[in-house]
Order: sequence, then C-alpha cells, then structure tokens
Amino acid sequence: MATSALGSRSPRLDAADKTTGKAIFAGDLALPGLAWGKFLLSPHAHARIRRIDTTRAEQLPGVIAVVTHRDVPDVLVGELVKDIRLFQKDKVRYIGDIVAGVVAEDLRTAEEAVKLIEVDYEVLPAVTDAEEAMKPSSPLIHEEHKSYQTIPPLAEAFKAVQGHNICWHTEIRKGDVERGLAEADHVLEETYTAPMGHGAPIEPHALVASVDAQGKVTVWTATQVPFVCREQVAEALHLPMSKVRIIAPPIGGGFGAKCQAWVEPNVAAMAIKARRPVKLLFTREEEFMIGQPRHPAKVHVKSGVKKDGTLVARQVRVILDTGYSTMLGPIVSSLGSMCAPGTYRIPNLAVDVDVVFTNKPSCSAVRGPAGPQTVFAVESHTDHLAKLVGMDPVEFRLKNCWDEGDEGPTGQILQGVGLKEALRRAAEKAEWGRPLPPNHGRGVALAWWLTLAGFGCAVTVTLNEDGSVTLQTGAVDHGTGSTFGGLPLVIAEELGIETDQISVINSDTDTTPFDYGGVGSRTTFNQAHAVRLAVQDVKRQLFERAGQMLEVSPDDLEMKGGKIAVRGVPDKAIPVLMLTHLAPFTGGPIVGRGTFNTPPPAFDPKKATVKGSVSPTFNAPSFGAQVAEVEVDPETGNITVKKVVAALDVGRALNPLGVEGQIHGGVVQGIGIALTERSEFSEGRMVNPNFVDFKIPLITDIPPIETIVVENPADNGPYGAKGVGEPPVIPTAGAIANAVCAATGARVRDLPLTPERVLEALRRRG
Amino acid sequence: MKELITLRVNGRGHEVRVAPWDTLLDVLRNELGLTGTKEGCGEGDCGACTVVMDGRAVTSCLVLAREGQGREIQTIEGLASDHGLHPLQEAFVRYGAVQCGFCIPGMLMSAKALLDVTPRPTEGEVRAALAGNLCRCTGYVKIVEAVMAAAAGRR
Repeated sequence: MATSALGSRSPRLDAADKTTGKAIFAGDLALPGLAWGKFLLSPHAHARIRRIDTTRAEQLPGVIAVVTHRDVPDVLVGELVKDIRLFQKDKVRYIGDIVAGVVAEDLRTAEEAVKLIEVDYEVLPAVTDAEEAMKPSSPLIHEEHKSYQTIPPLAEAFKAVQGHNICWHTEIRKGDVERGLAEADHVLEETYTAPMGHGAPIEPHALVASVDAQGKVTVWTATQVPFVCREQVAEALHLPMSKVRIIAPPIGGGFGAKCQAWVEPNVAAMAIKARRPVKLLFTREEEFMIGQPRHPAKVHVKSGVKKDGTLVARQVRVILDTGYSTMLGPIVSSLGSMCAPGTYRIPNLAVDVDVVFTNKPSCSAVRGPAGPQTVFAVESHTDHLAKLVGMDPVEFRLKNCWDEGDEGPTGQILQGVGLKEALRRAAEKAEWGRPLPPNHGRGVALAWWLTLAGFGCAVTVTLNEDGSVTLQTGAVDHGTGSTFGGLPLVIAEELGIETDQISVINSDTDTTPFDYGGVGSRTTFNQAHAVRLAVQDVKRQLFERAGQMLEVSPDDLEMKGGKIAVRGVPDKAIPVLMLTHLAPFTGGPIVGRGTFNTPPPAFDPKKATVKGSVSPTFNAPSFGAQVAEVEVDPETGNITVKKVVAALDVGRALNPLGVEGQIHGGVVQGIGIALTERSEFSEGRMVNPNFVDFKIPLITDIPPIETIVVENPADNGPYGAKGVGEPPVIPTAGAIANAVCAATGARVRDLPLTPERVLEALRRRG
Repeated sequence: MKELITLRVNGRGHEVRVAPWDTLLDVLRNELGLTGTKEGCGEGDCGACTVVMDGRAVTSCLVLAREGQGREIQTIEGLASDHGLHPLQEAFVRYGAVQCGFCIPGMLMSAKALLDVTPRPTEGEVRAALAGNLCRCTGYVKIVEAVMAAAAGRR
C-alpha cells in the first residue's frame, strides 16, 4: 500500500455520498426560518436609472425585505478592477444587471414582489459588439472609468487603458515580426471567430446566507473561490473578514462559471436586512443569461513560413468581448496571449490582446479561458500553412513544435515538454495517414496550458488517536477530483495507510486554512505539495516522540509496517498506534501543518517585451495533442465526430481514474464548443438561455474517446504532476475543424461549425 | 387552496399539503426533505430531477405533485438497501463515473428504470435510456462503462 497509493485507480472519497443523494449541495440546505430571495434584473442593455420605487413590493404580504443600493455601502468592488456595484444605482449596463433583491416567505411571493418594484429607466444606446465599442465614437460603458481603482500589481497597465471601452491590453513582442514576415517565402493571413459560450454547470448558482446576533455573516455558496468571496463580502459590506464565513459545499460543476466572487455580497446584504436566512437559486435562464460565460473572441493571425516549412514569424491580434465588467479579463487576456501563438518555435512574434467592454453579461475565466477560441484559430491556420508548403499537418507540427529546452512565446525555457510524444502517440493511435472513405477526415491540434502558481495554500493533517487521519483543506470540490480523489492518495502514500482511514474537511473559511480556489488547474499541484509537507510534519512529531521513548535521535528512526523503528534494529520499535493513543496525554494531539506557494517561472525581459500580462510565463505547463476523425454529410453539412484521441502530458497521473475523467469531460465540452454551443444575442438579450437551444452534448452524441496519458514530470510538480483540469478542453475544436477541412476541403473559420456554415464553406470551395 | 394528498415514496406513504401548481420535485425537495433529487433547469431538459414513477423514469419538475397520488415513486434515497449500495451505485463509485455529482441521482434513476426492464442492455440501449440526462463533467464515458458493468454483474 505505502508505495502504490499514488498512481492507483482509486474511487474518490465522496463518490458514495454523491451516488446516494447524501451529498448536500448549497441549494439543498434548509435552515430554521429560511426565507427566499430573488433578484430584479435590468430589462435594458444600457439605461440610466432615474428612480427606484420599492413601496408596492414591500407592501405585498409575505415580503420581508427589499434591498437596493440604498441598503449597502456606496462602493465598487471587483477582484482585479473595482467596477462592480452590488445593486445598481445610476445606470444598468446589461440585460440582467442586478437592480434589487427581494426576500420573502416563499419563492412565489418573492417572484411576485420583484414585478412590483418600479424602476424608471432612461434607455441609452447600447453597444453590444466589441469592435463597435472599440471605436472612439462609441459611448463609454463606464463613464467614470478614469476614477476606478485596481490592485497594485495591475496599476501601471490599468493606467494605460483607463477611460476607454478597451479595458485591458496585453502584448508580447519577440524578435522582429516585420522583418520575419518579409523574409518568409509564404505569408498567410486569416481571421477566425468564436462566439460567447457557457460553462453550463448542471447546478445553477445557489446561495444561502445567514446572519447571527453578533452580525457575523455565513454564506453557503456554490463557488470555486470561497476565500476570494470572503474578501469581497467583507469589502463590499464593510465587515472585518472575521465576521464573514464562506462555506463552499459540494459544487455541482463550475468550469469557471463560478470562479470569481460575484453575488455573494448581494445575498449576504439581503440576509442582513431581512434578519432571516435567505436562499437564492438561479433559474437555468438566469444562469445562461448572466452566469459568467466564456469570452467571444475574434482572432486575426498572420504567419510567415519558409519553403521548407520553418515558421519564421507570427502576428496575432485577439479581441475579447468581456461584457459590462472587467472581472477576470486581465487574466483571460494574459492566458490568451500565451495560447494564441501556438506551441511552436517562432523567433519573431507579435501578440496583441484587447479586452473590450460591451453592454453584455460579464464573461469569466471559463475552463481554459481564451484557450479553445485562440487554439481553434491558430491550429486551423497551422493546417493551412502546412498545405502552403506541401507538408502533412502532423509532419509540419513535428518540425515546428516545442521540444525540451525550447523557448516559449515570451522566451521562457520550457521543461518537461511531452508535446512531441503526445502528438506521435495520438497520431499513431488515431491511425494517422490510413486512408478513409470519402467525406471522412482526420484533424489534429496541439495546445499547452499552465498550472496556476503564485497563489498559496495551507492544510492541516491530524493523526487521530486511533491512527486515522483528518485532512483540513480550504480546497473546494467542484467535481475535478483533486480534493477527494487526489489528496487522500498523497496521505495514503506518505503515511502508509488505507484511504478509507482518511476523512476530508474542506472549503470553509472558518475551519479550513486558506486556499486560493479551484481555478487555473492549480488545486492538485498546490495542495498535494502542502499535504505532503503536512504529513512530513506529522512524521517528524511521531519520530520526536518515539525518539524520546526509545532514547535515540529521531534521525535514526524510520517508519515501516505501522511501527517506528531504529534503523537497522527492527526489534527496537514502537507501534505508531501506541504513539497516537498516548498523544493527548503526552505531547498533545498530532497535528501536521503544510503550507505551499511557488512563484511562476521568472520572466526574462531580455528575451521578449511583455506588457499588461499577469502571466508572462506558464508554470509547470501541460502539453496536449488531439486527433479527431469526422464524417461530413455534403448534402446537409452535418458533422459526425467518429472518434477523438486525446493525449495529454500531465507530468504524473496521481490518480489515473481522475485524469481520464478530466480528459473525457474536457473533450466532450470541446465537441460542444466545436459543433453546437453558442450564446446568441439580439440587441443585448440572450435568446437561447436553455438546454434545448444552447445545445451541450448528450450521451448519444459522443464518439469513442481514447485517452493517452503522457508523463513527462514537471520539476516543481508534486511527484512531477502538472494541472489537468483545463487542458483537455482546449485543442478539441481545432482538431475537429481541421478534420472537417480534411474531409471536405472546406474551411469554416467561425465557431460553432454549424451545418449552414459547412454548406456555405462547401459552396465557396466550389 | 392547498390540498392534502398522499404520496408513496420509496415504499412509505407521506401526507403533504400541496398547491395545484406544486411540482413533484418541489414537494420531494422542500416538503419531504428528499434533496437527493436535483433541479438543474425546471424545464425537463437536463434530467437532474429524474425519479422513477410506476417503473418509468420521469423528470419530476414536469410532474405535478397531485399527479403523483396513487403512484409508486422511487427516488435516489431509496436506491440503496439495508444490504448496501445498489449495484449501479457501486459501479458508479468504482468506475469513476462521478465527478461533481449533481447529475448523478437522475442518471442513476434513469439507469435503474432501464435495468429493471432490460437487465442486460446493449450499449446503445443504455445511451438511449440516458439521453435525457445531461452531464457536463464526465463526458459520459465512465457513466456508460459503469451501467454496463452493473448490468453484467461486474464488480
């Protein structure tokens, strides 16, 4: 057991709760005196608020409180740029902007009362297209942008964009892109687009807030970032953080739709005014309309290539439509700037990413933020470059893609690069080159992704009197398996116990130590380090106590077979269980503490110039290659995905069962992004906010998915592991688009690849 | 306006007062405290609220509570027995078919309704039976594996 826990196909510890209905999600909670909350949302994309009258709503029997901007501190909040008001005061900036909140005895009454709130709006011209919003003539979405605050690390870059609808700009300059293009034998320039999408977790946002007699607020919320929520609730409501407790129960899927603090302060304010616990559940329509979607993107890419297929220069311009708020835009922009150039050696590179305000819902960092959009573009483009020089797409990629020690887009020296291995193995398994029937085709795409670093965490590991273990961690469980499927294996491995002896207490800001959150594929990487250190701390304490009893130095001891023995003298030993039973009466309980943080790799300004980036390097990057095989019906334009082979270099698979699950889920989301998923807007209003019209893949839609786990360890990863959560979703759309082109010769440059677009491309092809 | 009705859930009768518009889902979750059945859309699209009624899988958000009178209703809370987990539950645990878990109760009830009628389904029959249950985490691969394994009696 001791040496085989890591790498074993172990069920997650919470699986039995989740298969029996015993797992309690936020929306399942019932508290004594529970009341129901409902938001009044703006019906206009852009309007001035002249007057809000809540009188009639307050008079409706069963209404407990109506909350507006008048009930909360007059502040703007936001994790990066403070541009969000809890309840709108002067202006609404999108259809769905929160104007008021009603608390009532039951949901129906709350819904009725919302309709009785009278708001006098002066409708303003709305800007719903990012390129329109970028024009100097466009109305400003935030007139007071120049007075907005940001966090210190972003101050300089923020200053450069203040006062515009372009609310963030990231750029990379490496080499001399103009000269590079001039020296190329072929230059290819193309434009690709991807629409707004949605993480679409099956659980919509769900919150319960409660306040005690001392004014302490507790919010149970389906969030990936409880500690960020605590900070935001405290800031927004002028409370000390000690008076705010955030508990993230099991989360019914996140995918970035729940990865930033958002409505937690609103529901807390409603509970404070009502002096009752309040439950607020988003409807599916609300979830789709305002629940933190994926950025629409426009990607212009221009590349220069030599006759022999060597890439010499690339210029990429990306426009990300972020909606009414900056939210995580600077992060998405930074990540996009690293993905958009592709995974290739390019000596001359220029990347520009603009993040633009529009009168639409605010986009978030949805699984692999900016990844699928930019990789669809650059990998489609890469196939065209290969064709220009008469090379096979796999051969062209093998010639240009990164190897160990190559430079990334900003000059970062890459380590643990399993990219070529992933590509070769995926191509082989997909039988690349083997002839296919007419209208069938294979396509390939590559991608890389970071394991977010620079945000710390701590854990405690308590060795109980009976030798069982309790792990306390701030890490959330939004399904990925890090917390309940990965961390127990680290304890089992390091302590030589079975996982059924381990209990995990998690994601409660009062009872578990800080963790930055379930974002950026960071949980296992950071938490496993911390857990390992905590177990080492436990062992140190055991060895000290055993050393005293055996009258030897702790350094001369080893742990084996449930005993702590003098090295080389197995008879001179004390059972661990004896130490744990005695612990409360000797040195006190055995509680190990582990804390971990690591900075991302250093950026070398001699290699490149980077502006407006919070991520000029990628920590412990993962590398992926996917091959899709499709059949295209030339009569209808309908695409059938026949197979996807997904290879991912994860460094080390701590729990292969979980790693495979992440790859399967990512690929299927990628198929949705490729073929069907699109938030459609008409004059600022999403017109398909339901699962019939925003079609995510069904169990009947999915092809066989073959996973290949490549293990090129990361130097700084726990046991070599890299992040796994986000990478699998990134290359799929690109691989499918290339397969469609291989099958038909028709290139669709806009996602999703709808039958209409395929037919149109077939007509253009002639 | 509320009416007293009797619902038979997981083999036990419950008297509840319901309004004409109360759905079976509302009553299961809010009146009977059976919160294992989830609401993902309230429109019958996602299948998270699936329960078995008289042997058929139904989306309980589209069934009025009154329609449940005189029916035999089974929810996720009734799937395990005194002897332990149902073979489907065991297989879902063992095959890694569970990630966030929100769709799982509905998924399991649809699978149970299938296996009760078709103990040895083909993979196609499994997919057809689960086509109304959306999952956003797993990509469905391990869910199909788990149902097939449970049907085959594999542990």
